[in-house]
Amino acid sequence: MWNEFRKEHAWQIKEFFFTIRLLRRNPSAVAGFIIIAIMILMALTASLLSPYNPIQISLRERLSPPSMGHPFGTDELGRDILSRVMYGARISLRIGVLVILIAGGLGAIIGAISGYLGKRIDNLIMRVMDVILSFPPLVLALALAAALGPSLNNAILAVAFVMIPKFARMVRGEALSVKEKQFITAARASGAKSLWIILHHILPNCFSSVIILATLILGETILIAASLSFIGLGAQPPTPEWGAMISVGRKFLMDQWWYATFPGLFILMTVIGFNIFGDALRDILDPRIRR
Amino acid sequence: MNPVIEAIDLVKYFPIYGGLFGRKVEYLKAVDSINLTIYQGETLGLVGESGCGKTTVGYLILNLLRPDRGKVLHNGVDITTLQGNELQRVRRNLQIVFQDPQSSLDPRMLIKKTVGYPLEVNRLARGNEVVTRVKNILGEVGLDEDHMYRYPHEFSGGQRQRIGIARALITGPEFIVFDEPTSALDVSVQAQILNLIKELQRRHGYSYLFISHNLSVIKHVSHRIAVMYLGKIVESASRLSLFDRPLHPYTRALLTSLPKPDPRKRHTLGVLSGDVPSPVNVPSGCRFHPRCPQRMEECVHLAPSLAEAEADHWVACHHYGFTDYQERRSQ
Amino acid sequence: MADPLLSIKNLSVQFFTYQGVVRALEEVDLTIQKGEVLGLVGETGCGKSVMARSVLRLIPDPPGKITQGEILFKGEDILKVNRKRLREIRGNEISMIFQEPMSSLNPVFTVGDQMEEVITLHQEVDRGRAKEICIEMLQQVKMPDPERVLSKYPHELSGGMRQRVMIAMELSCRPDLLIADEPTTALDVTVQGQVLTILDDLVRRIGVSVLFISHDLGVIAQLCDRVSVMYAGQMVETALVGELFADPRHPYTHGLLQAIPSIDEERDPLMVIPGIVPRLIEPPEGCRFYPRCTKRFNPCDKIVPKLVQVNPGHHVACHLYPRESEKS
Repeated sequence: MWNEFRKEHAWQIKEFFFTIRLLRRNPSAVAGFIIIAIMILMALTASLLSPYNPIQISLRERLSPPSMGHPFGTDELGRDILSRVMYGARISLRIGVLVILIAGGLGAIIGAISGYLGKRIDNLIMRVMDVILSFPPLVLALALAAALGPSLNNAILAVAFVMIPKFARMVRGEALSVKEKQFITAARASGAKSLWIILHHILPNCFSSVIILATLILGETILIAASLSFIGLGAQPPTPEWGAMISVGRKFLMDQWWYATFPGLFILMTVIGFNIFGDALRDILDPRIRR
Repeated sequence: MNPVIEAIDLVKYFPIYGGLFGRKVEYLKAVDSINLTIYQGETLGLVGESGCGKTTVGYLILNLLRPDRGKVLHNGVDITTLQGNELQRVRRNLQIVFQDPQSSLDPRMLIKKTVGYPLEVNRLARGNEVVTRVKNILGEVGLDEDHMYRYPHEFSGGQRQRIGIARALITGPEFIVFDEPTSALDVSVQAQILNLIKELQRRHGYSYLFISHNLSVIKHVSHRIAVMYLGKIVESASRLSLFDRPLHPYTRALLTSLPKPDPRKRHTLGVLSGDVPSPVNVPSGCRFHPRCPQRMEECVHLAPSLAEAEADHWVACHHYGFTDYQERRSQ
Repeated sequence: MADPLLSIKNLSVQFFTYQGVVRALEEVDLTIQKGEVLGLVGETGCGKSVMARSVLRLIPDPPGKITQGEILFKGEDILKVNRKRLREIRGNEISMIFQEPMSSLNPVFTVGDQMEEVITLHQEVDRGRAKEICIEMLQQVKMPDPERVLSKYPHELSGGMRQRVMIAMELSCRPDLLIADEPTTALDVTVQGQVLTILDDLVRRIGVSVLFISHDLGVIAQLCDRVSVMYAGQMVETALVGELFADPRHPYTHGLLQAIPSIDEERDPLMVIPGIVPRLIEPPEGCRFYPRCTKRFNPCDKIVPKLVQVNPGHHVACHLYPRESEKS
């Protein structure tokens, strides 16, 4: 079984390792990757490595500055901020990945259908996408989250909805150019139906662009989700989500700087990490540079 | 002998939009009333320069484009009116091989799937049977079994054309359109592919429409030849007739423009003046008249229609004494 | 014999890529005499375009590098001249026209602007005189209504007309050598006929030497005085055009001539050269044609054959014609 897989996908495996090699040589790719890796590691090992239970209250120690016992200090209920930040990574990444999967998946299909079928359907779909895109993403996500009710899952849906048009637009563009290739005409001539062509020809050819867009959007996604939690529409207390922590920590910013600063710093690093990695990836996957 | 394909009075105009409101401003008269007949086991060569509409004819015959007028009969059935499942069933019988080995294969698709999917989408075979048939057809076109597990970029241009041919043949079609299949290939590879195409026809009795701008290649593969110019057929004859006695001035010009690979046969090329005109602003009367070295007064106003000048040798030219009353009336 | 105008000796060019080193040209020799039209023929990957670009040092570096050899033009080694001299040579003493004129003509300037620019760059003339020269040249390439053409943009002209503009532009400075890289490949056959006739006529009248590159043996037979055949980065045969076609010595040349479908004779099936062109990344040792050669024997896969004279003016690089038996 594995051998058959290896035979069929030999070239993709080779390409994958080639991409890795190219990424290793690219400084921003490496930097971005390290940051992302740290975040992922934190998220995965949070339950093992976090020094404290993130929701454990200890009023005696409330609002203590960073120390040996609490490297990031404690919040107003005495909860260890480092532990909360570590668990927060888990949440932020979960939000990011889910949003990308939903928005990317739906957006790609919508875009492919729109681009391939063209004419009226394309017009209709793209006008709808335009309407969604005409709202500032945060505002729209806010409105949706408010309508759906304050919860983390609703925040995910809201952000995903807002991101769909970006994927749809991009995939539609690619679909338009792939549509003109001769192998598509060949497929039609062989009796393939439109749905088959979209699934087997158009979507696979858009794959690498979707990946790149995903890495670039991931940062924005986390930011919007944090903003929603900041306002109170996303993660609810006591969930240690970074945005929510900043929201509360704002009040204490003057005297207890550590409260809002560390989660903020982590949001910053995560977004930057994904952005520079995504940039480097885009350059590397560009077929002209790949020669 | 029964004709496999009969194209009757095919017309295809492409609208061009322009102006402020994107209205239809002009028409690109790609194919303007074409009649073709292809018999079983024979190759009809369709030759002409860029813009003459030969590729459009190929697409019309396969119903990849719907004609504005006219019909295409396949074994007597008009395929231009078919839809959905009926059309799909006919598609197995009529296939096409393209010119560009770069874009005629999906770069992300394994050869096994590229060659095999016509069987799957037509529900002719599944699973292991597909694999077997793919292996067989690859062998027939001169490739190995293991080539199934590779991607297009791992192959040379000639090999990719073989793959394209394999894909076209796997459903066991009756009729295949070859759209400039060797134009993008080197000479030595072209020879291999041309031999393959002819051999396959001998072995399986396929009927071909072979489109090319290269007269030597057309002569090599065709039984009958039709010469196109600006959307019309100007001459049509058997291979020997056409090359022994080319009648239409355009055909003659094509032949004399051909540089021969023999320095002893040097001759003046370039008998024609002007450029290949665009099918948007089609000249009046005989479309060739602006460039024709034998232009007469009537050629400017009257379009000649295709008529038999010699036995089974058709020309559309006033020098062979034919006029077209219907054309005059409609002008 | 007088000194050749261009003499390329032992030229090797390599490209350094992620996949390995592409040995595009391997110790290639070539000469062009004054006033002669030399045809350079070969299939994809044989290195003819690389050769053409090497003459004007147009090989992008990286990834390409001219690793050895000399290119003597009027006695000077182009590979060693300084930038200033190189600029003098380019466009003025050696001109080049390409296959796709759309990419050599700037789409945002009129034809007139571009032609005048070329002229004023190399000659000491004012704009008025430059314009006159433009019109003269356009008349030489039989362009109808030259004044109007000068005010047009490249996309307003057809392919054939653009090529004629290119020819006019590149010949306006009366160069010693014109390099034509597949100038008619992208044109329709009737237009090709026109352009070739014009080119042939003009070249003979001005007395320009031409390095004419093509994969089309018909065009080569029509136009050239002498022909050099390349395969996979190596020069395999050189001869006067008549002799090359009548008496090809190298198995590749022979195979190539047999593989072309002919208007005049029946060839069924076409003689085929089995196999495909080798990759130039790890090329085989010895003669690169060895894997496909029907006449191969022992030393062919180990030793690269050198060009050897088999008749006056006729050189072949093939072990069938070994050095020792060379007689003049």
